[in-house]
Amino acid sequence: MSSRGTFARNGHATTDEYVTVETLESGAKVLEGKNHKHSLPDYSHSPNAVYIKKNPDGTFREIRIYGKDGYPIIEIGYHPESFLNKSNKKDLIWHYILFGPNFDRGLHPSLIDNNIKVKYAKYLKEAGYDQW
Amino acid sequence: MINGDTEQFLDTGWLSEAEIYYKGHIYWCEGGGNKKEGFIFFIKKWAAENINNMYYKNILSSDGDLTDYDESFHLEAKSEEELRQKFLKSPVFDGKTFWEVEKELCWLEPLGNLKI
Repeated sequence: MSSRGTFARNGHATTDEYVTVETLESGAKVLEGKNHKHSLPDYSHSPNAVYIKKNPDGTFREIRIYGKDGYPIIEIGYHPESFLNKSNKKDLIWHYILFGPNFDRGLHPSLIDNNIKVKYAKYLKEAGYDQW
Repeated sequence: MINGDTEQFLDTGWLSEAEIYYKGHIYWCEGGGNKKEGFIFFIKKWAAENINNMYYKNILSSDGDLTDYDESFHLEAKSEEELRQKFLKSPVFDGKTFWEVEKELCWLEPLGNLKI
């Protein structure tokens, strides 16, 4: 059984398995997975990379920002999130989740706050964030 | 697994908002954690239609809500491997475990407004 991140460390679920379909002005790249890859890369070979996943209809789904070591730092998403919107299971909601060492994904998502807005403003603007 | 890589799913995909279809339902798989606080995994399930083994379309009520919605499945563990083993032993797919239905599971994306 593979442990978390084994693929990434072996170079499987990384950017080798994706194609860049668009590069935005900010430098963020819109990726599409090859060979039935759905999630954004676990790990980036390029330091400080920023990758975006869009829905099949072209709308924004999530952006993942990586550190200088190639490990993910944060993922900002725009999709239903029942943790944050308990009364509505299907409406889209802006939120983020942080990563720790060894690909550890945060326990719970959080709503976009001012700190996130300031730090990632250029990416949020390109993604269509409209709750400034 | 159809339209997905089983090994990748069990590596990081299962915790990263993977949308898995099985017999009329989407199973939204998500989790996270760390060694200090522990790890969690949960599944949100609702009725959906499989479109060409690539996309899914939600089956909505007359009020526009998701139907057959269930988010009761929730696991906790001290380590990620313990969590993974708990998941693999759980009969979450209509009473069957992951490995019992693995060949029938289909990793899909939401159809949204895509015209096909």
